[in-house]
Amino acid sequence: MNPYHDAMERCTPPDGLRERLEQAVLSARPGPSRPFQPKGFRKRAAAVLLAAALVFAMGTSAVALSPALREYIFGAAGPFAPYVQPAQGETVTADGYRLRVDSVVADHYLIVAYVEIQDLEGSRLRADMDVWGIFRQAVPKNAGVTGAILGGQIVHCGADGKTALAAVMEWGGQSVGDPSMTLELIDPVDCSIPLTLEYAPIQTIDLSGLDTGGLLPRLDRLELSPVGINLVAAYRADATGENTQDQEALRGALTVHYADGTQRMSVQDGLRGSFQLAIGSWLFMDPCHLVQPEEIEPLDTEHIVGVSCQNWYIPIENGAAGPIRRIQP
Amino acid sequence: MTQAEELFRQVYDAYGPGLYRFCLLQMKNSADAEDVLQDVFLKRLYHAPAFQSPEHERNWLFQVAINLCRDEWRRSRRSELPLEAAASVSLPPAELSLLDQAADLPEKQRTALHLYYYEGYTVREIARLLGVTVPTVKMRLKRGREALRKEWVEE
Repeated sequence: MNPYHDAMERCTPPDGLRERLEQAVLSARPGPSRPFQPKGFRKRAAAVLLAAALVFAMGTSAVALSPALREYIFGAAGPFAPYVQPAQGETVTADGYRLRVDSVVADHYLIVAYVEIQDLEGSRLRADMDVWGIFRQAVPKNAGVTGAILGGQIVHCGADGKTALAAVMEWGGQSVGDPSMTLELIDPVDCSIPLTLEYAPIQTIDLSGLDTGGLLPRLDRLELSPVGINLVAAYRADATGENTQDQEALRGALTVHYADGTQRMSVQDGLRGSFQLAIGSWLFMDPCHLVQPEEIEPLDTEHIVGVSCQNWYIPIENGAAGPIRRIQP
Repeated sequence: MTQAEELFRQVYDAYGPGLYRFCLLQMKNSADAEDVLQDVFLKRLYHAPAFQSPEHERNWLFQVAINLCRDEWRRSRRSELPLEAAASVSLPPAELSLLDQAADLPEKQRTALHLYYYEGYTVREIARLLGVTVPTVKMRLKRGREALRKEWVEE
């Protein structure tokens, strides 16, 4: 024994922990992650989950006055509906419009926010309006992420032009961490909407210290979520165009390998971040169609046994990764 | 007793207090630690793979706890409560000082230190659990030890 062990041993669990935990766990619905099933079953399971999410959300939403809004959000999120999380957003008024971020689907590098818009002064809202904006973190602690891909669209517009639901997307522009941010909307209304994100489940695998064998730049971590996979390189303060050529290994489609031998390819890929902080980012949610196509499925992160791209393969087992192997492209 | 109740009791008896202590060290807040622990148990009861051995199960539980604590720690600002207040326990000053120092270590160091000095994992097991190399774990332990007063952590 050692003093640390002895001291920690005195930190006994609080009274009633076991009972509270037992009651909460046994009465809880299983979350969106699910046991591994063959691909065909996953598709059907996704449909069931979608229906369940719809029923659950419409029955319990705090925004009881707009169950239709919820339906439009889940319709736009499609198979990702189970990962729609409420956003703690403020309501703002600008140019005769009232706006509020209702909910989001997000991991650390992709945000899709669903914005409820009401025209207080007329019937100006149209389905073909331009939509785009930028998310600004309240505390950008990890400087070095410089580029982002932005997008947006009206995913539902009321026939009277008085109400609409917009989806606003940003990919790659966020540094990890602070979920408090402001959506600086440019179109259709110039305004700033404060919100706090709830992320989808993210599994982080520490890769610092992993020998990359010259196949990849030095790495910091791998992040797996239902919407995408991000391979984050170690921060390089002395980065130049010459000494960051190894970041090119993070470009190209990513293949996800499952325990049953099946594979999935990323929907979109990109080398994001900056020279100093390179991020290989691979999406499994379509950032270009904010009404998600039904054939796209969320990534089942719990049963991944490896990821590969170009000439490298990273095995994953029991939440750990490595060693990196060279493969034939 | 249902299967789920039976499973919950088995897992809690074997790992519950240890997982709670780990979550408390990471979150420095009893309520947050309890929330994370609840998620760990939800995953264990409803989404766990088939385990090959008790060690496999234990490793999996700690891996899940590590990931959930990291996610929660990033998402919410950490409580700055002293561990004593967070844990609602009364400790001798020396032990309290040790635990507060340990809780204030960088996350990677305190995780390695706790797994080694409290849970009794070997360096190699920690390396596997965290997905890093053995020298990396040794370095984290060395730095963690150096940050604490020497008399508190003895090999």
